[in-house]
Amino acid sequence: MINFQSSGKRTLANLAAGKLKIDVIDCTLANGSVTPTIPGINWIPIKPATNAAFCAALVQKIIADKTYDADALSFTTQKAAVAGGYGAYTNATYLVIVDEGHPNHLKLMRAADAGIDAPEEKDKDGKALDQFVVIDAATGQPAVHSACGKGALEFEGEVNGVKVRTGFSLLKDSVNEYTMEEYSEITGVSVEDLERIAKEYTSHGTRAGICHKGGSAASVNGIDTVMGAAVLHAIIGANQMIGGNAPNSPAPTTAGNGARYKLGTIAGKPDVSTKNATYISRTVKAWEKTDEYKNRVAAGEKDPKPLMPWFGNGAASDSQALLSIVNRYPYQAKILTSFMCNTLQATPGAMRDEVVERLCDPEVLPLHIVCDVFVGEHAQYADYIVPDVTPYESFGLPTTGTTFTGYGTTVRWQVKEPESMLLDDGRHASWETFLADVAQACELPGWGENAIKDADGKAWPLRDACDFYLKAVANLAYAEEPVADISDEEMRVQALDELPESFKAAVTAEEWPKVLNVLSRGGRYWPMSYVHDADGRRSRGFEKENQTYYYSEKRALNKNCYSGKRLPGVFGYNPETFTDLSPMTDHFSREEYPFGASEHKPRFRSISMLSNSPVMRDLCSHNYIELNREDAAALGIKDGDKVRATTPLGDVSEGIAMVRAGQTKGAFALAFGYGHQNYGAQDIEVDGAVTKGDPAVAAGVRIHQMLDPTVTGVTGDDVISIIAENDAASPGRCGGMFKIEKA
Amino acid sequence: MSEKKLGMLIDLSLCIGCNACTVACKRENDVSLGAFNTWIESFDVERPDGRIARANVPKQCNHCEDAPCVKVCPTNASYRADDGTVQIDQDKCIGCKYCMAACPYQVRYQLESGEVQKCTFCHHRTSVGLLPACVSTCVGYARTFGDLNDPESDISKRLAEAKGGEVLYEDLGLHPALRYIGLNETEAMPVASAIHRGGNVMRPYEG
Repeated sequence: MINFQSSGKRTLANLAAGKLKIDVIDCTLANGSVTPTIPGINWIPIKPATNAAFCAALVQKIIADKTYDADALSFTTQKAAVAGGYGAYTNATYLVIVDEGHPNHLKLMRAADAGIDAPEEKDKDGKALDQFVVIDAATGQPAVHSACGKGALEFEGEVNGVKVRTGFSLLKDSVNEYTMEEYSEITGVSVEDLERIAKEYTSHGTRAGICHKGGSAASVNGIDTVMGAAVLHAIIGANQMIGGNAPNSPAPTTAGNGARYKLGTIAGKPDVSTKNATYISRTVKAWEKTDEYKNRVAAGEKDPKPLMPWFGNGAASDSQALLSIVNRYPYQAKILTSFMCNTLQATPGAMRDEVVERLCDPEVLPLHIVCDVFVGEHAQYADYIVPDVTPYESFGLPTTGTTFTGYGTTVRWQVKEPESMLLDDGRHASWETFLADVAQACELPGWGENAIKDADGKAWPLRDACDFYLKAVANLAYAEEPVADISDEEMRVQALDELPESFKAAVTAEEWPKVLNVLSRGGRYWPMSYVHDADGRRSRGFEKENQTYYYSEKRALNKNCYSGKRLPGVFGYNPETFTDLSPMTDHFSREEYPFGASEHKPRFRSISMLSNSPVMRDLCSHNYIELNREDAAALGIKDGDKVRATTPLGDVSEGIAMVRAGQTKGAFALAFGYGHQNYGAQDIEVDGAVTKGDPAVAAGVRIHQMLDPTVTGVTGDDVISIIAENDAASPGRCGGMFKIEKA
Repeated sequence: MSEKKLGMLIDLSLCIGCNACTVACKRENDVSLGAFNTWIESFDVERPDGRIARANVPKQCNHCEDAPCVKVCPTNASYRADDGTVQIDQDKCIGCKYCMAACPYQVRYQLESGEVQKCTFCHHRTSVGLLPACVSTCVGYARTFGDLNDPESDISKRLAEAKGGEVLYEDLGLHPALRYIGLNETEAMPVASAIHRGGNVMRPYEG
């Protein structure tokens, strides 16, 4: 992520000044800041899908050396942590029931399990709070977590006759399942580096952190990476601390119930939630909680298995939804609307003929509407394409992530008239106008006349993007202290006096000059004191509940819907598995398929986009299959050779070899976003007029991951399922099994 | 001739190879597809400590004090301007390509219409007090631009700290106005991949 411009700026300046040290743990040397002559930064190659092993090795060393922050780990509540000078706590001291015969086996111990008669505590909504049990560090006796400031980190014994252990003690066992030498063998990182990094990481108080993005967890065992990083942040008490793990760019409420408009309130909103409905992605709900499961058990079936996996701990997933749609399970999708996305291309293993054929079959999916600027892989198979607007023609108040660390937010607004079709009423076609018109036709709440209420209770219409977003800008302009009105001169210089009447009509006359002030500056930014506090914590929000799970009850209780297996509630290294949690290497030979795969952000594309840019193609016509030079030599592959990576199920990724030292051994890599089939590569016919495609758009290669052999064609003859994370449901993008040969 | 001598300094430790300069240059100067006024050569190297790093070396016209292109130009289309830069008078260029052959840095290219082009140090910008597009867009502040003859300029101060910086092909004695920090150190490291120009292979890796 150091490639993002503003984080690159800060990183380089601090490295050059000797104020920062970084180890870049990555399969591929893709991080621009690892230049030959800058001090303080190392690239540490790691094999794909082994990040959790790396984290576990660090934790093992940190626990063995006792270099962890025992104070930070021992706080049992947020209140105690804040009083102790920190901004977060963990459940490392909470007791876990390890008694296999106990009805609450694998659960955190509650007061009732411990025979403690504790007064009930309720949250602000009146819901009874869980009362977990710890061993009070002061007395050595069991106590309710909220009744003591600190718990004992290490405890293994009986409470009320029930065998229990602390999460910390379970974690210790988990990270000790492999030796440092074994972790080194698994990850490809030397023991020396593992130990050095563990030492360095614990040598800066709370001012160290792990900067990991989604890609680091994009494997079938990815959750352990996320949990591992969380454990490592908490192990030095770095959460909510400046220089540690403080959240990026907090901002006032803009698109919600803000200072001027209640954009988060929809009168008459249908009561649909995961409580009374089921995501088509088979997430949020465990298999045993589904109606199907209950009905099948009621019908006399013993231990029924679903057609496709369910992910009780997973959030909504576009990849899983796509596979659900083509499998018509758990229910048929009648209408699919997609906006500005390329789910088909972005789902590893999904872009294949069998999936496309079903996506195009009206029996499978009766209606598919896409709203986009491009006819990408996903849009190519839609029944209707609604033209959308480009970034310069649209609005948004994106939380700025890595681009700005202070308090505030950027604003994107329509700086030019959209190129999309002009509607009769003066609006342009876009996602927002499409939604507004469909909602009106279907008489849905939240759109059309009287859709939005302002702070005074007055109702406003929502028919176009400006109706919504300029009200969000007004919320920003009035947040904390309202901004000044824009001056006439500034308005003229920036031609803001020429903006469409519809913009002006979206807010009050009083708000308009303040909205223009924010638009003219592209957002609103407060002083850094709104984020940084002198005591080392972030200045706002550190009092709010911030707990790190050292033990995740939800994960420990997640029973795999096929094998009934469970993964531990503490993090550790779990080798890659298929959906039923059987190791991949039980099915296929690692000797025959020795390579893993990984993808990294493209330097000359943007996610799936920009292959249509002649300048970007001029800079880089295609990506490569990046191979370590020692692996390449062993395979007789030379730089520039055409090579083929094949999965045990025969999926082929073919491309040009880049033989380099900047790639980990035992895995190949490629830059994401190449290997298009559509997106301008194809001829497009609209109303008889053909636009010729450009094959150059399709250049390069994408990873063709295998489908899951424990589900595909197994649970039902025609079921197609991708390899995925057991808890998160996210697709197994990196890792897998491949053999590589000259094509 | 005035005392001005415009120059550019590139600190290779700060170049992350993002190619924002390349794109900014193409847009600013309307450089045709397939041609580049500036580009970045990127390649893996083995650092002295045994670890691997990625070198990014921006290249462009060196605006040599002793410019071979100016010397060989039969029509004086290539000339040294008052600000010390090397420029091409497109009206005088007859497309003979002598300059292209004479340039040791291979930074010149011929347009379809016959004239030769290259980096002008964004003469149209710098003559009105702006920075060259590549400098103003540089993410890591790797590029510094200014008057080498003014000891108070940013570039002179940075060069003073860097003991004058380094130049490409110093042995040719052409006194380029394009200076680098970390060039010799980078070039001393063994190359461990193909050399890419942008993302395209310029020289394959022989292993």
